[in-house]
Formats: sequence, C-alpha cells, structure tokens
Amino acid sequence: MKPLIVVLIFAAFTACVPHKQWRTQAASAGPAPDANVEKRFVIPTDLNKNRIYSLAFVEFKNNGEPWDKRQLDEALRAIDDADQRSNHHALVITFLHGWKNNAAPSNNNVFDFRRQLNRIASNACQGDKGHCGVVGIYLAWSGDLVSRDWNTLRNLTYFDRRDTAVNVAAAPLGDALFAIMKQVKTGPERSTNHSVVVGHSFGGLILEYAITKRMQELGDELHQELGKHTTLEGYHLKTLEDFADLVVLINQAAPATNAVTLLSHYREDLARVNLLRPPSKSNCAPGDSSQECKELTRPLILSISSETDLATRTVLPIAETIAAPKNRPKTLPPDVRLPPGVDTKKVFTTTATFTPQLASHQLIKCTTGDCTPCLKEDKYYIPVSITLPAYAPGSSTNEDTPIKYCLARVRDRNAWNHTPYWIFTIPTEIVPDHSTIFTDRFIDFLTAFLPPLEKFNPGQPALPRQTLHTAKSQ
Amino acid sequence: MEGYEHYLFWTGFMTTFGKQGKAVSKYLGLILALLIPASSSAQSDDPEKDLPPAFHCGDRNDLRMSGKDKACYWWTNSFNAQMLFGAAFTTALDPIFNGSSDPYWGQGATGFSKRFGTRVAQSMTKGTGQALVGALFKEDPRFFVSRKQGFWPRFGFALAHTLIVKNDNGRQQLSAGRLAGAFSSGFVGMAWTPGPINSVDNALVRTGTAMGGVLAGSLWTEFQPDVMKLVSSMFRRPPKAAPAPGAPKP
Repeated sequence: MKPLIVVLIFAAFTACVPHKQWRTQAASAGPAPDANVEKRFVIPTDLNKNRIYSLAFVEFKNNGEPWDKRQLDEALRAIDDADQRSNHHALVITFLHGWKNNAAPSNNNVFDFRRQLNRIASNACQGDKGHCGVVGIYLAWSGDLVSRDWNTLRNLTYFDRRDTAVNVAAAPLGDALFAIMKQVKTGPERSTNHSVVVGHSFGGLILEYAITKRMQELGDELHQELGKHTTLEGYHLKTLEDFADLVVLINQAAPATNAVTLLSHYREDLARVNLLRPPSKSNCAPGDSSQECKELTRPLILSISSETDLATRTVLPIAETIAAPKNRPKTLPPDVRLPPGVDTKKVFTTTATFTPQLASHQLIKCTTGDCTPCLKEDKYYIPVSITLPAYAPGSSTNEDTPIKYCLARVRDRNAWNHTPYWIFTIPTEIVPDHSTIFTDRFIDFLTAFLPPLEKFNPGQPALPRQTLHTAKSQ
Repeated sequence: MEGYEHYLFWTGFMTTFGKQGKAVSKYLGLILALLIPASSSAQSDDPEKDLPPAFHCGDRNDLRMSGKDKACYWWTNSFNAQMLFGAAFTTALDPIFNGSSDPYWGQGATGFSKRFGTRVAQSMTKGTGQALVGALFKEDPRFFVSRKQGFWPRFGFALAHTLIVKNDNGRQQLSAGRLAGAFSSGFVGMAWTPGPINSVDNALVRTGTAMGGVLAGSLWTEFQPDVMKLVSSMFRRPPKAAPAPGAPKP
C-alpha cells in the first residue's frame, strides 16, 4: 500500500505546473552563453542560427502584477533596437496566449510563435536579414496549472484559469500593452512602424478587456471629429496614433458583452469611417482594376473564430451559463441597444463571432480558384490565399492544395455591424480547432490584413501612417 | 516539466524504486526505443536552427505524429483519470450486470479491487499493444473526422475507420495496432482470471468489448460537434417571457 501512496503523491506532484517566472535573466547580466538564451527576458536575433527575429517575454502573476518590471523595460528596448535596425520598418507582433499555456521554454505556443516569427521575418527581409525589424512580444500569464500528461485533470482547471484571466486583464497588463504599442509608434519617424496584437482564447478575453477603455476614448474622439462637419477625407485621431494597427482576437473565449456594448455605443460613428490598406501590388498599370491594385479596407479589430472551434462555440455557452465569472457585471449598461434577434442571455453566453447578428463579413471560397464572382458581393472584397497541407483536416487529397477565398462585407445594407470591428467565422481549412492557430495557412490569412510583408524590408519606402477615411471613399 | 522530459523522468523514477520499477522501466524503454525514431513534423521553409519540431501529443490534427508525440499519446490515452473513473464505475456496476461471477472474484473490497485492477490492466494493455504494434506498422493512432454529410455516411465512415487508420505518410491502411490492442486487452486477463471463468470464449468476448470501445471512440469523435451543439443550444435558449398580467394561458 505504501509504495502506491508514494507513487500517487509523486504523480500529483509531477502533474502540477509551477506558478513562477520562466524567463529570469536580464540582458544587464551580460552576454549569455548559448544555453542560457532561453532563460533571458529577450531572445536576440542570431543570424548564425538563422534567427531573424527577436522575442521579448513579459510575464504576469495571477493577480495581474508583473513578475519583474525589468522585463517590460527590455521589451521596449528590443522595439527601439528593431526600429533603428530596420530604419523605421519594424513589425512588432504582440501575442497574448490562452489557457494551458505559459512562458515556459518548452511551451508549444512559444515554439510555434517563434517559428512563425521567423517565417514572417524571412519573407519580409529577403536579402537583408541583418536589418530585419521583426519583433515578437510574448505577454504571458499562468495559463497552465496541470501538465499535458494529465489532460483530464487539466480540463478541470477551466473555471479557475478563466477567472484568473479576468484578474490578469486588470491594470498592469493593460499598461504594459499600451506601453508596447506606444513604443512602436512614438515620434513622427516611428509612425511607419507596424504593430499587431493577437489574443488567443482567454488571451483574447484579456486583450479585449484591456483595450475596452481605449476603444471608448477612440469612439468619443471620433464622435467629436465627425461632429465638426469638416470635409476632410482623412481623420488623424490622437487615440489611434499610438494604438496598434491591427488587433486580432482569434477563437476568443469571452462572451459578446464587450463587443455588443462597444458597438451599441459607437457603431453609428464607426460605420462612417474606414481604415485603408495600400494596394498589395506595386507598379500597377493605370486602370488596372484587380483587387491587388485597389486600396482596400482593413479592420482595426479582427474578431474571428473557427467554425469548428468546439471550445468557444459549444462549451463556452454551457460554462458561462453554469458559472459566470464572479467579478463580471450581471447586466448590460442601461443605454445598450441590442441588435434585432439578440437577447441579453445570448450576449452573456455566446461569443461575438458566434452571434450572427454581429457579423460584418463573410469568407467565401472561390470555386475553381476564380474569385471574380465575389465582385457581385462586394467590389472591395479582400482576397485571401492559403495552402492547405496534405495532412490537414479538410484536405481530401494527399497533396498540398492552394485555396482562394474572398472576404466580402455582409450584403445586407441594414446589417448591424459595418464598422472597422470586423467579426466573422473562418472555415476549418484555415483554423481547424480551438488551439491550432500557429500554422502557415493562418498566418497567410492574417497577412491579407497587413501591408505586403515585403514592405517591411528596410530597403522599401516607408509605409503610410494609419488614418481613418470617410466611408464614402469606399 | 513538459512533454518528453516527463517520460524520461518517469523512467528514471521507476528505475529507482525497486524490482518492479526495473521491469516497468525496461518496458517503457522498449516502447520509447520503438517510437522515437519515427519521423517528425513538417516545418517552415527557412527555419531557425536548433528549434525543436512541434511536440503536440496528437492534438494537432494537421501535423504528423513524431515518435515523441506517439509516446505521449500512448501515455495520456492509456492512463488517465477518465479511464480510472470509468473502470471504477463499471466495476461498481458488476454486482448488477455480472453478479454470476461474484463467487469467483469474491465480494467486498477484495472483489472490487481485483475487478478494478483487471479493468485498468486491460485498458493499459490495449493502449500499449496498439502503440507498440502501431509503431511497427508506422500507424497514426488518431481518428480523423470524415467531413461527410448525413448521418449514415458519417456512421459508416466511423465504423470503417475503427479498423482503418492513416499511416505516417498520410495513406490509409488496416490497423494492425488496434487489432493487437483489442486482442491483447482481451487475453491479458487470462493470466489471473479465476479458473472456471478463465476461457478463450470469455477472452474473445473481452476482445470484442475492446473493439466496441474503439468504435464508440470513433463515433464520439465523429459526432461530438453535433452532440455538443445540441447540448449547447439548450443552454443558449432564451428565457421564456413572463406572461402579461391577465393574459390568457396558452
């Protein structure tokens, strides 16, 4: 009996993932030997290892406090370095992970993020890797309590980690996030840098909570600007100057409450403006009407979920009904007007992406690879191209298959959401489930919303700063 | 501690603790030796050097499984809380459904622990047999959903793919691993099942039950999204509006 008890205690011990700071070495400790690079706050570029990006870690405790404030300082320095190195062509991608992840050196999200950063950097900086300005910022919290080896037990940590995520969304993480965004854009010469923030699962919940106040400020400022009745084509909003160029919520594990509240208050103003993305093709001939030569719209916030994400589509409504987070408001603000067909219960138990009334766009597969029929749906549709690997779910062949999609606005002119807060679902071929997001095809999908990656090559002309345009220009 | 280190850790632990530990350690070593040389996942075109391939334990359906993934898959699917609770639950129901075998197994805590131990051993043997033979034949042990339309085509697919798996090259083949797992699960109990009920017939029944378990798993994976959608829709149903005062009852 005793050996059995010893084994059980040992098993319980090994099942736990420690709540600790994973990246512990500051750059001030001096140059780290190769083996210790993985412990540093910032993993630097290293062309000998074909590491074209740098990656900074900023870690937070369960109460939202940072483990070590120097981590943020070093992350900001990494942005400065990338800005200088690339001559203001930096591309800073901040990632907020979800449940079952953390900043451990062996964590899959860390590895996968690094792989994709290198792929992006490799595409962006062909021929000039030494001056590449691709930086990753990994904002980490203790999303994992139980080791993958004990997956059933691990699943039982859902409510605990969700409530922790709500705590973590409190001030210090939001402050760190805005400090990062500001560092990318501060100063006139840095407005050409690009900042993308991605939140996955509970990371999406944290991200949305953290930016809510800023989005309200943006809405208020826009309302004032529009109220001036100027004939300007473009609006430079102060709130946008040091904000991210794109915020992505992928398979966000949060009910639609924040999205509905925000859209209810500001959608009429937001529907009057567009963000524009420069043509993806340079040297277009005059009169070339292909999508690559058009200035297309782009989102400020992109909220997307896989159609086959069971976790947020079916489990979340059950979980939110059984036990909502204790510190979340139980009612919507009194001035919120819900879209037709949506009731309060649905808002509190369903994600924005699985609330069809909030959908702004639809992703349509181009049969036989020809997307011209999409022009009937939307003259300014966004073309999306991915390659579905032979082995991926959804592949019916044993070969890699190129697939084209067009992303078109929902046709109904009276649709509730025609704002730069884009909400829609994406098919299995792009994201097959809740967790599989760091794939080449998903990154290819996301790059459709960014300037072409070649534009981040230090040798290219600077990118235009982000401006809101009146919607009639589209 | 994550992933593969865990198995090495467990191997070391078993080696440290007694003779039984040594036997188990050899067993694990054999499994790892068989599994680890398998191919690893596809990576980006211009990868960073020294970054290890994705370790996904079978969670990433779009990636092939490396040896480490298969080892992890074996461990997490053969020994987990679901299996333990399931074994305890079905054992607790034995007096109702298998009461006639009580005289041979015994009753009370002794009988329960023997039956429970047998079920756990069968389950682990099934997973281990499948992993070992599957590794020899380079099988991918996972069930992939059909993406067919309609109940019967999907049911048929799940039924067929109880015995058909993908191999490491993505092609389909008969699953020697699943068959081996089912048979080893059925027959391993013959080593200790009490005499009068220790027969080949009973072992074959247990083998059939094990294959039934594989089929149930395939069906669950195939229809899980629909079942979950149905359950979820019940939770999302809007509350019934309270009738206005004086309104006639429907």
